[in-house]
Amino acid sequence: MNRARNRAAAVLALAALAPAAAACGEDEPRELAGAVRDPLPEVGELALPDIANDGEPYTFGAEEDELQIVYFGYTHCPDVCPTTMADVRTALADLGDDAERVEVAMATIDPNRDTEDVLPGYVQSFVPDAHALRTTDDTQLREVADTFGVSYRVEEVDGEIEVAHSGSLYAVDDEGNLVVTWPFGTSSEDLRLDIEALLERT
Amino acid sequence: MTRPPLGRLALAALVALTLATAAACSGDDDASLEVDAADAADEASEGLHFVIPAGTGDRIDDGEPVEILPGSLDVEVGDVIVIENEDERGHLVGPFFVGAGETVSQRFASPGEYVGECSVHPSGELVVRVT
Repeated sequence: MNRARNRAAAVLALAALAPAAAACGEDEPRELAGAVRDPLPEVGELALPDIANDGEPYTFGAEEDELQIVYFGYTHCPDVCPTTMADVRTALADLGDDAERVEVAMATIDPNRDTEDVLPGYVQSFVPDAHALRTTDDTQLREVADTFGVSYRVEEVDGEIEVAHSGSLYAVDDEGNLVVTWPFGTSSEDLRLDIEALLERT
Repeated sequence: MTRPPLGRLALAALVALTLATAAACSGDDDASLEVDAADAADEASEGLHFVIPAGTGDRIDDGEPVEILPGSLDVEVGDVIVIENEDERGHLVGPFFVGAGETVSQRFASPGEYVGECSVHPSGELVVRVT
């Protein structure tokens, strides 16, 4: 009888331990693959026109319990930009239903060529409901870029447009904090894992 | 001798396990992304903690050679790089940007190569190879 009671107690305890252990694992913050700046830069006061939505100001900062992914690039980019946007698409596809909690925006650093006719189609060929941010006010673009830590140069050399830019990808939380920077070359799998971890923390 | 009722046995076991689980999880409650600079410096892998001193930007403007990081770094998966910027301006350090007064840290999660401009090395570039 004692053995039966002890076994029953053990069964009950194990039943309790399983979810407790699972909860313990869930509480452990995952080490992010991206770079974290301290203090976290605040970008929530900044905005750029969203030409995918009639030029409405698009404020940086995710909706509550969501995450915002932001990229700065240009449509004539031969390698870094399409690779990064394709990786974002793959990461979101692998994320499953949680992808609905992620909003994507790409801001052009080459607004003279990335017009209203070009940019939304380019961005949304990777992520269908992504936002296309464009301003011809270089002061405004510089302010946003500097806060995110983006560097870019667009120059005309011998009649050719030459563009240089940092290729990082950024995540902004629902408090307007830039919570992680992914250097170009971060795999789509690491992006997905980081996004999952960040969504758990929101 | 009075036998403890089954419910009491189970309760005792549950309490013990809950306490043990809580103890095992202690310290993991803070899911904040904020990085404490001192902790970050401690966390840096050997040879991967760098400090950009105050006045670095002025030295660059004056044409002085500045070499705070090497032109290339070979690291392993799991290594952590920490860069503290004590200067009054932000600096591009290869794939990283570290603003004035900021500390940036990254744990390399996967093999690969990261390349970017570097304002604190004469070559103007930093390559990080992760194996």
